[in-house]
Amino acid sequence: MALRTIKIADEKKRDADIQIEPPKRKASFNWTNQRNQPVHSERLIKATEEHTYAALLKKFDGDDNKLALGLVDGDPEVPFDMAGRRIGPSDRVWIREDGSVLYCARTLMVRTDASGEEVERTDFIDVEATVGDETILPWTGRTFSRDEIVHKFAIIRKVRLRHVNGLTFDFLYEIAKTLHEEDKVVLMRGIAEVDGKKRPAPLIFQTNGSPYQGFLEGRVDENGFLLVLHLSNLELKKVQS
Amino acid sequence: MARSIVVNLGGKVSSFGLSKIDREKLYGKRTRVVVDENGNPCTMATLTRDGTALLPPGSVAMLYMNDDFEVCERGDLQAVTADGEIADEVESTLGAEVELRGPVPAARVLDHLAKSVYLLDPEELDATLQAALEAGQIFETRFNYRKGFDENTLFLLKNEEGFFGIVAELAEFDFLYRNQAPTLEEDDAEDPFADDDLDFSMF
Repeated sequence: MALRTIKIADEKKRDADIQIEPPKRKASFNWTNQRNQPVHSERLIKATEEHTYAALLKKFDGDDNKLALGLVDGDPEVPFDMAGRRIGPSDRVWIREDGSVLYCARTLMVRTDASGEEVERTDFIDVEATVGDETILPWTGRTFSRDEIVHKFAIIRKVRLRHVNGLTFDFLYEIAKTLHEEDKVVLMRGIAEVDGKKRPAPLIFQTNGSPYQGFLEGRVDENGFLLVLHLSNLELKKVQS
Repeated sequence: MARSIVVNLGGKVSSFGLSKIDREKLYGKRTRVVVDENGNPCTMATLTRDGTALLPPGSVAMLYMNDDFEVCERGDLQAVTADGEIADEVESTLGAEVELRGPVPAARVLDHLAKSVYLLDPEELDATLQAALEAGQIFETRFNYRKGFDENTLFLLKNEEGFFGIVAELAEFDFLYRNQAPTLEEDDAEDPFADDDLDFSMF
């Protein structure tokens, strides 16, 4: 997967195509067995749709006692020709309660409140991304101190902004320098069209993706820069009981 | 009885009860539900590409095995570091006194990514630490919820809502310089938002 390209504007309302990338994963550890041989995780077939409780019950005339006796007498729950096989290439499909495959699905959006109570059920409508190579992330000019941000939000994701050529190096360096000198982070918001009007919106990086509050932090040294977009979808708040 | 976070700052001990905060508890949840023609909810299953197996939830086993297809039970697994050394297990820090360091700058918190957030209930709070937290200072210590091979950092801070513990892992970036074009290796980097899914609750 190539690095993502996004459009971003600076405080002079100039925009440029730049790239974003996630932090590198820290070197962790590997698993071995007791003989120090490397092991890896594997997904294997345990049963199929013909071996679920519902399918087996149907096979035994809907009688739990018959099913129990069948389980004692034999192994109807084990597909001997399948069990232990690697899954290999596969697709995800939706199935009905009776195990039959759905060829045309209707998707609903169900909203529950903090107590778990369902409060809304409507047809699902795609929510478009607000960050990408077609929409420009505007400069909001709303700055905050780092202290304010870390006391209000949990930063759960971040991406580094990187240049693609000399021009975008200068462009990003200037943004980083501005934020570095002000010792602030700037709020980043996307733009979404609501009822035909363009309005500020949270950062959404792909269709139906999670929305984030974004805060851009800049640091510079003599010849280089670091611009990090910190992303949060969790406030440091008490849970209302 | 639930165990506490116990910290020592300059020889003074404080302890906090903890309860995890997640998005569902704070904001509720929005989920996509797929229904059939009668409005009955459906479940997601796996269909092998050769069409020979339809696997409803619960039909798949996840096992650890070596290259000879021999299964290794979870309890027999050994963690090995990048140097080939067997990694030491780290005990849980809950209920154990750990040294608190700081105050640390907010930039130190921003160099990390939060893995979980706890609302803390002070059970015993040293006056010096309380005053520092109320003044907006941030402290850090090591944290391990349960015995394991990873050790995380816990940032301790306070805002108008209460005391919070942010469990985080280091995720720093290097500075970029003019001649650093994206390399092939970097071009293969994972998509940071590939597993993103709908959840609009905070907004």
